[in-house]
Amino acid sequence: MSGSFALEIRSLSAGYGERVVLEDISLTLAPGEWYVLLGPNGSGKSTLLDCVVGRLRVARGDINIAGHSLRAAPFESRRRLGYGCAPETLPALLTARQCLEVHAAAKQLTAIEDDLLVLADELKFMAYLEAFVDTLSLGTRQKLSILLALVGNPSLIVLDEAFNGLDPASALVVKRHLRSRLQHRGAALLLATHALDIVEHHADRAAVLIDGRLKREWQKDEIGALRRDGQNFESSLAQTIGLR
Amino acid sequence: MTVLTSGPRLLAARLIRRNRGAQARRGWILSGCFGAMIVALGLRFQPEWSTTFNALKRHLPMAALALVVVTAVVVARHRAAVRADFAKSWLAALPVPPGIARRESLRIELWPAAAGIAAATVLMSLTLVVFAASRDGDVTGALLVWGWLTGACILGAVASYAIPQPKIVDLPPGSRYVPKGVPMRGRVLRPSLSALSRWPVRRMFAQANPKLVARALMPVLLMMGLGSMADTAMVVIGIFVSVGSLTLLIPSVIAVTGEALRWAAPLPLPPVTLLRLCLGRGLAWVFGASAMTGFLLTVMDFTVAAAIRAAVTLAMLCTAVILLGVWRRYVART
Repeated sequence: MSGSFALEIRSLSAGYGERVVLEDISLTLAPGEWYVLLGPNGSGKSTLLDCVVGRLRVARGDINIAGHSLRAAPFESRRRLGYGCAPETLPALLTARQCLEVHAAAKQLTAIEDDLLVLADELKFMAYLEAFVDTLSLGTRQKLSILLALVGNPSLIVLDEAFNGLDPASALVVKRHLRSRLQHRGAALLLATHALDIVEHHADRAAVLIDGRLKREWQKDEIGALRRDGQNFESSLAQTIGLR
Repeated sequence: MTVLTSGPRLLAARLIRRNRGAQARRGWILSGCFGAMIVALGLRFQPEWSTTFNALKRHLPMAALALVVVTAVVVARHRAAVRADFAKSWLAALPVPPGIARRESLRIELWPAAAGIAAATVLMSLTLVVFAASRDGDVTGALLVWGWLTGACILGAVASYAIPQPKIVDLPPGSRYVPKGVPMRGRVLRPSLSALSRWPVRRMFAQANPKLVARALMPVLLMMGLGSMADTAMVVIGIFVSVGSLTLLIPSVIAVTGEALRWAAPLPLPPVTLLRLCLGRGLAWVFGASAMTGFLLTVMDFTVAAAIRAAVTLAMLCTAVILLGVWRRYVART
């Protein structure tokens, strides 16, 4: 049954040393779904993403990516995962080309997919292929990070604040590309962000994480109703987190 | 309400040190004392070291003058850097009483001179202990050298206020100093992990800022005796380059391995493959640089056996430090 989900998290708890950051998180993402993770600063969004991509060991619970357990089958699960890391953690002394080549080789590809190169071209990124990462601007690094997440046609794409620093045109190109990838290839997207307009215009489902717990989830029909009624998502979120 | 007595910058530095824990601080202090003890023992029991010490004693006024100049330049540069940093600091806008701010600035800006005096004092104290324990040694000479050097540090610190404040320039990205390969423009993207093996060596080059390297080389050349031949100087420069590259390479390999393990954690790449890639070229460099050092020692009239012994010792020491550091990073990540 778990094979039908792009991501399945069961009763996950994690933290740093003695400090528990996430408690009893359960979450599933179906193929083709755009899932937005919201939450105040320090609520555990990035920690949850770190657990999903295997950068942080979980204290309790299970994570399955496209039917493969991250713990029992780390290589199979990671082969189906695409992660856009924070731009400041990209390797400063590799060129953009080398970052892409390393990701492609790690995923045992024989070549980089054409549609990724088309996206790079649309983002006007090809001119920066030979540049060292430490000479790139924040927005260009962000583009590289997104491109790296998409190498190897992953079943699950995980992005952390991926639209920070992107110019509006590039952000639009990325959103359209992601939507098309979700629709035509059945990939799922887990995006942690503070941008509520993404929930209003693009997300299929959304959840707010507060103090390490999923406080509320908005289903597809609820978000659809908000869109239909022309309401904004902000008031619904404010109610949930108790703001007046 | 708590009244600020020591100034916010010193307070913040103290709190940061406390947060980092006493263990790291203790490690540094112990390493420093251990190094000073080695020097003190060397001065007493190694004839070559005591010859150097006697030479220093003979040329004490000249050495003190050189130290005054060096201290003045170092303190002036440090002051300029500290002031430039403080202008951008999160503490810059805090209201601090002028008296406290002045005292705090003095303590921060004169730190290099204070550290020099502290190091000389620790070294002198340990030397006196060694002399006392062995009931031999030139106690008066040691005190004389300490007095001159300490005085030179104090004079240099005062003189630093008389020289023009140097201009601080932001360093360019490290990749500027990395040798560029053949341009790949237009070449098709080919999956390959080879870039990972180049990363540690690139970091070594990135840290080798030409200005800093030139400044480090200057005292090495000044230490050569008058009348030295140009070819001797070339060999000394060669040894400086190979040993210097190892000094930069060791922390680079360790740091890059940690960064690579973190960056590649979400990738389906076995950690062993990653370690092999990060270590391979770095260790090859270690063996190459050690062999080069050995060869240059033979040029400097060392026997072949002594040069081989030095090269093998250097290679083994560097490899052991790298493997230990990489192992600690690997355990921390996994």
